[in-house]
Amino acid sequence: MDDREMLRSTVSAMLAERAGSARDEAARQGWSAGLWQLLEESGLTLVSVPESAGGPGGGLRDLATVVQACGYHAAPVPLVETALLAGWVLASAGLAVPPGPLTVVPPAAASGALVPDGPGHRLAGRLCGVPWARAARRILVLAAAPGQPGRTLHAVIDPRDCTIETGTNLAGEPRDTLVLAPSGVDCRPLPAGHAADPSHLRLRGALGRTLLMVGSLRRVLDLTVRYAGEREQFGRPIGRFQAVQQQIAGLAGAVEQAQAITDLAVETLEHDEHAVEVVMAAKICAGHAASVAIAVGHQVHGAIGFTTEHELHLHTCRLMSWRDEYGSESEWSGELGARVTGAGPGGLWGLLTGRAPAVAAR
Amino acid sequence: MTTVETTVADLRTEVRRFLADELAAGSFRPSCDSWIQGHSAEFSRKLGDRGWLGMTWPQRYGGGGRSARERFTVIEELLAAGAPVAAHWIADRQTGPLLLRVGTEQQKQAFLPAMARGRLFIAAGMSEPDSGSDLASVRTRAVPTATGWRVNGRKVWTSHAHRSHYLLALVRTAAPDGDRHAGLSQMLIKLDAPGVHVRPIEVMTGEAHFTEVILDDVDVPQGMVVGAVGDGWRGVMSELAHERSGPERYLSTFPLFAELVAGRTAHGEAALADIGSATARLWALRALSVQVQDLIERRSPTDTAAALVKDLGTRLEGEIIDITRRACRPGPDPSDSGPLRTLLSEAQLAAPSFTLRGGTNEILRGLVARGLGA
Ligand SMILES: Cc1cc2nc3c(=O)[nH]c(=O)nc-3n(C[C@H](O)[C@H](O)[C@H](O)COP(=O)(O)OP(=O)(O)OC[C@H]3O[C@@H](n4cnc5c(N)ncnc54)[C@H](O)[C@@H]3O)c2cc1C
Repeated sequence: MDDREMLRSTVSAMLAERAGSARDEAARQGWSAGLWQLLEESGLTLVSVPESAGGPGGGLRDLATVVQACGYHAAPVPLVETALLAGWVLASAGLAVPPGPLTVVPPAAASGALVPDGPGHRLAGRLCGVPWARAARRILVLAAAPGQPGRTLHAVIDPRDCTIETGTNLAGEPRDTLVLAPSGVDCRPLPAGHAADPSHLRLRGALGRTLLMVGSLRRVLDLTVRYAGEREQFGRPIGRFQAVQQQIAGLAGAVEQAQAITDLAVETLEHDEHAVEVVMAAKICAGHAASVAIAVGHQVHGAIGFTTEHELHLHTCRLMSWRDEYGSESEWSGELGARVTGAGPGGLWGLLTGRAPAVAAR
Repeated sequence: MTTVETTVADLRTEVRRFLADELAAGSFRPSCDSWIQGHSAEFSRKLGDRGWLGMTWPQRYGGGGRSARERFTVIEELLAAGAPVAAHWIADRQTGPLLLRVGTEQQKQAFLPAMARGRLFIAAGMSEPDSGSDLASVRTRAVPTATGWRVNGRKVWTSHAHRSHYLLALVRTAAPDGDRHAGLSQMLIKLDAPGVHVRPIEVMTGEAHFTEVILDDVDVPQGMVVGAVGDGWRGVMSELAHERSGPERYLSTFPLFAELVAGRTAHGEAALADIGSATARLWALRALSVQVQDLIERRSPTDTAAALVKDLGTRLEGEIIDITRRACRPGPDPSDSGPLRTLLSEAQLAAPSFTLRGGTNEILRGLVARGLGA
């Protein structure tokens, strides 16, 4: 067993053991503080954040392993927001990463709340659709400085200074609205010279959702295969019917495709923070696979999978939400299409075989 | 416009006016899947008072004595508007017609008038934990007593049993004896009778619209068997053409589609092409569904065509969700409560059931292929 496999099985065992209590807690509060504490004590909430910034170190692949396990177990904790997004932004800008659960305002919501204030800018009004806001100790906001290409503004908000209106996605995960104090929030420029800008944040957000989806997709496949072997109709397991086999095979294909491109995205991004297209491709494939998994998972499970007493809906409802968060497959498809068509002769093949496209069209 | 369309034009106008008034009065919010999820006893009573339930049944049983096309017109208008029609749906669509075909005179007089007035609701008790697609394997048993039958067993996924008056249950009254379709009977069981325990089951949409019904030594009077004892399978099968070919099999997401095309968002070329394509197929499905209704009225065989309508229709219902997702990029606020987003969420959560209920699409396709002689 290599280190990463060890990490995967350790995290999985931990999440599986706590799944029931975490779910109960989430049903009441939207997330599980208990599970979070366990992960934090085990040093798993800031994986890939360097020690210099207060994390335990480790690579993006380690973090990807933890996030996929969270997806597989539908863990109600802001791990992506804390480690992959806020932790990464703050660490790469040379800022300290505060302790506790963190979250990030999705870039589109942030830019909408920016208002000029003397020579600088403030955030004012409402920030909508903030994942896990009610759970976060600190909330990070990034926005492009208007009229100053390449300049990024940021603010770190203490949620106790604002009002939180609770909201959820289709799976009941917190997607809250932050109502800022009337005085607004000061934004400061991030020091220049690193990758942490709103467009990269959006891309990492897409990667985070993709990793969760890949874990969730795998779980739907496992549940579906198991159920098809157990459920009998007409005197035999339904998995013996060709019509069911065809669907499961289609699901398996979609899951493996999403997994393969996601693995590649993580590996590529680990070496090259500007590898944008492969992340887009991963989100696109995971989005397509999500639609297949929702349809096939439910079709094979029949009516029982439609109930909240069965586990399936935890995953399918998350897939419904995650495929749209941080860019749906059709949004990213449009962007990826524009990039490859703008890349000139040989650009497409170059991209597939590992060279950066000649021109990055926007 | 065909002549039939002309004859129903006034009725259509009347229904639309009624719906507009109800909407204005805030009596309902247009919703997807309203024939399963939109339960309102009050709304059903209003429809009954207007003569829009049991429309095709003879007037001596409280029906309207009207044509199948007139009924089709009313229900398609109600569904397209996303009106809450679930309470009376089973009674109006299948139990009433079944009683007219095989019920006793007493049953017709006892049940049909109240059903047509929207005062008596029926739940369909076919599925059991171990009997879904393989319906003939039901294990709920009825044994004869001095006055009728004693029933024991467990039904599941029974829509709205907790809000209905009777359960039309498929039960085993005799051992299969070689032919597994023999020895089955249908009987009407009072849902507040001693020994009947109804447990609501919560589904993904967050509601509890279906239930588990435990039948524990329930006494059912002799007169409640619908059709001949042992002939239940034929009764169930005869309901299926009604159950599978109606407009509810392609209009479950119509309120979403209507909102999408209502012009509140400017659509790109790709979205317009998607919308056009779905429009064409919806139009064709409606034509096919109308043909099947006409066949049913003439009592011609329709099982294959009905199964086709349901297979095509339920898939299109799902595709309308995909089209909407592609056309309207989600805004920054996922808890935005604008009508398009509300309808989209509602439709996404309900969609897994479209291709299951009333016979799964795999079972339906088998039926179609066999019906064609394959
Ligand atoms: C919203 C909703 C409302 C419902 N309301 C009612 C109601 O009011 N009353 C009622 O009685 N029932 C109701 N049902 C139950 C419904 O009729 C069943 O879900 C349906 O018949 C399928 O049965 P099952 O769920 O047990 O799935 P199963 O029969 O276990 O099927 C599981 C999977 O195996 C496949 N399969 C099974 N056999 C074969 C085969 N021979 N060949 C190929 N594939 C096969 C199926 O297609 C499906 O994909 C409702 C269901 C839903 C979802």
